[in-house]
Amino acid sequence: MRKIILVLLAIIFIHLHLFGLTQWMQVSLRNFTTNAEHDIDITAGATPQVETIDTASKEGIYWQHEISGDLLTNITFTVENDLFVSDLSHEFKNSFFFNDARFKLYYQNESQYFKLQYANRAYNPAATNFLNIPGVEHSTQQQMIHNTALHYKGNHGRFHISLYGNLRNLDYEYLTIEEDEVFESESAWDNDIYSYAEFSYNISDQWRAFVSGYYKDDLNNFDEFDDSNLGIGLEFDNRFDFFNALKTEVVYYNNNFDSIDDEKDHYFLTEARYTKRFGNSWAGFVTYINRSCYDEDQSKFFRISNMLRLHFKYSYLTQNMKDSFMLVGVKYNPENNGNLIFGEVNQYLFEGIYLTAGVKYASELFCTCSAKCEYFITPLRSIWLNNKFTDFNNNSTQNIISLGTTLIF
Amino acid sequence: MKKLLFLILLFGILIYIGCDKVSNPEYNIDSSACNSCGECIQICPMDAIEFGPDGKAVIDQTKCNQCGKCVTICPKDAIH
Repeated sequence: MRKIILVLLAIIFIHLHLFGLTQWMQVSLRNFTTNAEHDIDITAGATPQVETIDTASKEGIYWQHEISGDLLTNITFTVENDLFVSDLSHEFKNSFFFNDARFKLYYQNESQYFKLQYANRAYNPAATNFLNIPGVEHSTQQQMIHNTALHYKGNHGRFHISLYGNLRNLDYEYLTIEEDEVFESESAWDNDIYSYAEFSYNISDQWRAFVSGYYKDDLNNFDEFDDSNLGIGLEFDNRFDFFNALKTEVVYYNNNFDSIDDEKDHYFLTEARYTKRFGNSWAGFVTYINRSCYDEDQSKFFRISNMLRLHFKYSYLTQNMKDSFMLVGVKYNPENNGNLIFGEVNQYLFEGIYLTAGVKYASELFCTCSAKCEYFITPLRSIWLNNKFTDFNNNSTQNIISLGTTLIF
Repeated sequence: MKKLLFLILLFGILIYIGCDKVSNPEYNIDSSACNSCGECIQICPMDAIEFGPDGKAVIDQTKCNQCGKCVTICPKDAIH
């Protein structure tokens, strides 16, 4: 049996090699330091296994690998794997040891698109923070997450159809904590099904009308966390010329869920994105997204969120490896304290060396400064040193230094 | 095109000025800005974020507790 598997693997490997294989890999060593006095300052959830704060620097490795190739005519595949290993620290992660693997198989022809995906995210529980899963009274620790998804899109003249289904299984342990003593229980599963369908009709080359349906079923009999909606919308998408493009969308959703307020039953989403080029060097876009709802009981409209983003980029040197550019932008999002200004400069220095510097300032949340020096050995291979410093509004800071390499082969 | 843009912005201004804020806010992800890095999935304390049909992150509103951690971590500022 083992020989057969090995022979099959060898055949698959040779087959893939013959039909073209592209690999992308990025590996980095990370050093993390913080001056936070309380874990709640920067960690995502409760961390009962860390009672005192160790502000000494911590090390970690982040390895991302992607392989893609053609299996047969119209059939392609992608295998992605992200491995993160770190000392238990207060970096922005739920887990300090996880492996995220994804296998995607695509079939595409002129009128149909089909995707089959299986994703597996495995955790080391000893290096994983606690989660709060709705419907589960106790804090939980994730062991493994399985996502099995199917996505189909078809074009039939002016009609389009999109169908999606995802079965999500979370394997976790739940713990009861009483008077500083931790009692471990058996493993349990949290299972959810997410499904989505959309039918659309192209009224003209620019206008599209669509209806959609979404259904989420919490299979653990937590009916309270089931969710469904029906949507109807209109989209305008047009590239007027090389310099101007506009995409807008207005959608009404009729929501049906128990765990969220009734005031969001009638939900309106408006999106607009205008892209503008000024010659070959200047480009920019403006995005506006509005979410609002109508409450029947109060006979009143409410605003959920407004997001306006302006973004300008000036490219002044185009090369094989990377452009040299300056970028500035602003994001206005008052409802979620998300107001933000940001800027970035990427400058070619000499002999394949680039320097990138960026700053991001969110007045109510944080200020981040970053700098990166990257050396391109060839256009497809580089090594880099990156430093990212963040000062949070609660006066804690964190600094991440990464030394890495990016390879395409 | 200018009329359409003007109408949408006027609509937004009217909503902003004329409507009260909803009692329970919510976070959503701008899929055109999301780069599918998965940082938000790795930080969410409620296990509320997962990749959707187009490979972009999506927030399950029935699980989200509006802690806002994902807003801080997103490298593309796609969460609003």
